[in-house]
Amino acid sequence: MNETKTERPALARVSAGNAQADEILHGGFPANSINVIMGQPGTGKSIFIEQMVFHNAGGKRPILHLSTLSEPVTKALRYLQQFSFFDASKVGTDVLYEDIGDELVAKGIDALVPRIRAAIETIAPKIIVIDSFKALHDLGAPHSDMRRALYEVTGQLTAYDTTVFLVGEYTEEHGRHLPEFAIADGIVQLMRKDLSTRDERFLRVLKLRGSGYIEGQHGFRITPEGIRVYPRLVSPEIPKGYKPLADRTSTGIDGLDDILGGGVLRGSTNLVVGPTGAGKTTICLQFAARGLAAEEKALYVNFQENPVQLARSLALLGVEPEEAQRRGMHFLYMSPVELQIDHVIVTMFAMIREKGIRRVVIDSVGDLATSASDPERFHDFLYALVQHFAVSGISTFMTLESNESHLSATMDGRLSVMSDAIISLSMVAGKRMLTVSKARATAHDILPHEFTIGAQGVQVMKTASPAARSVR
Amino acid sequence: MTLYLLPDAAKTDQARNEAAIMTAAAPRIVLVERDRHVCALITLFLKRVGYEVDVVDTGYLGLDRVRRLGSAIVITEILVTALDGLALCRLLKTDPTLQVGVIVLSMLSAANRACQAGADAFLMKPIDEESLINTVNEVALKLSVESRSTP
Repeated sequence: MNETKTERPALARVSAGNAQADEILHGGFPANSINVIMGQPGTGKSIFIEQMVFHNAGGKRPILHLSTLSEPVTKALRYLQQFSFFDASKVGTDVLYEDIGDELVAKGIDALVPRIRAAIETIAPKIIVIDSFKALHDLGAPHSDMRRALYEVTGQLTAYDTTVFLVGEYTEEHGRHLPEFAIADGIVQLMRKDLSTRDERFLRVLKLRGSGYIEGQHGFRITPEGIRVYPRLVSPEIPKGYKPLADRTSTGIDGLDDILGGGVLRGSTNLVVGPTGAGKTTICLQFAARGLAAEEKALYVNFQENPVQLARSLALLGVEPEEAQRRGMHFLYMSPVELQIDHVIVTMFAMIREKGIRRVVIDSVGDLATSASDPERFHDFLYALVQHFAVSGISTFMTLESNESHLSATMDGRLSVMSDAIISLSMVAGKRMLTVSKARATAHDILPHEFTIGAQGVQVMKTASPAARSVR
Repeated sequence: MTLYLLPDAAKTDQARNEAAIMTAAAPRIVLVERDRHVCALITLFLKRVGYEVDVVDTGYLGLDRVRRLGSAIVITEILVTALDGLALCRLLKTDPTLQVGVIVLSMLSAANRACQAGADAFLMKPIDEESLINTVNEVALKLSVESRSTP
């Protein structure tokens, strides 16, 4: 028989109400799915859900929001009005809030099934939210009754054309034994990690039947517009026909291009390492400013010096800051106190896309590392970042503060692997020394060269330093 | 507290009117389905617009019921036991003594297979009330036109 065995229809989606969450979910929650939205109190579950609700409100069929035993609808509504997505005109028509707490207290879990049936029969909701679903377990019903009720509810909800969200203060432990996790088509977890001076919030998709999704923890913030998610940076797919770029671009530093065999490779990531005051920022400013002459727009990402301080340093190099900005030199300053790596990366990529950036400076990569709550996460990010830059041909200088002449610590060692070239700055016998200790795919000069910092910035001596030679 | 609640009255009235026009010769619905939630919903939605619905849970029982009735609209899931929905559809559609419209309603995406089996329509689960009623009305209309043109 030649008949087609499987036809694959496009999966209809229900938007999560924000573009980044939809990106993570590969387009949104599959329509007609049953989803668990889990997280401890204060993680942002209600905001996430209500943003989704108001985004999808409208059309022929309403959205039904059933409150169980968590908080009264009026209280929840009062706080929701603070967010720009909230639209009071839709409440009562497109979005119907019902409080079934009293009914559940009086009749127990058995009140739920007829209530949902009645809702389907009378108002035909296209989306049903039950918040909190976990609270139903606190009704004191025997486990067997709870299972039976859940079986009934899911049977009903599966038969009918509606998308369901079960919201609850679930922990990962609950996820291992509560039956709603077994029947759920999608599970989204919201988390909050308490760091010493700030909290980090993460969204994670644990399950999404019938769909791909971006794995891992995605940072998010709660803003007046609702939840703003920063999808985790993942390594880019290498485009078909991709060839690593072999052409070189000038660093803008007198003498350094020669040592590097004619400049840095386009799309390469170059690490400038040295102690405080060694000239790392000056080298990077020169690299960025040189981009203007080469018609390569530059982005200078900086966590320590604010734009005014940087502009001053730029002026000292003879580059007029306003003129440089007009010609395509952009600064992104982010306070190290409020950093969250996801936020940094998303903001940076948005600027790269928007401004057509070809050169990037990250000053310093150590500050970026402190913005990630754990080293693994930082390295995943950095690796993906370097890959993105390589594929898009964006040349990068990153700085790293280090008093060591060799990169020995774990983080530094891994940074070294990711870098195409390492330019080490040091002081030897009262003289400034620059050594290119690594330059991938380049026949380069590995000897230390003396350099000066003057009105023209960093200038590297063309011949290797005999004094330094003996030191090595 | 309840802050709302009105059914989409306009839509329901329209559906009722459409059904009322047809009720004079409304064919009986034979639903072949094992899922009781699906049975309950389809029965509710179709009764609301004036159809009578018989529910059976195997293909053979469906075949038997239609043979007794002579004319009907069959709504069948593919995944039913003792004669699957597509086999039932083929048998019904090739029996010259029967006047039958078949709607395959399945959780499987099988529009082409349903069409090849001779079905008049295919619907994918879950049940969308509006498309269900529209489809049943269309098949009923087609059936009544065919019955008038049959000598």
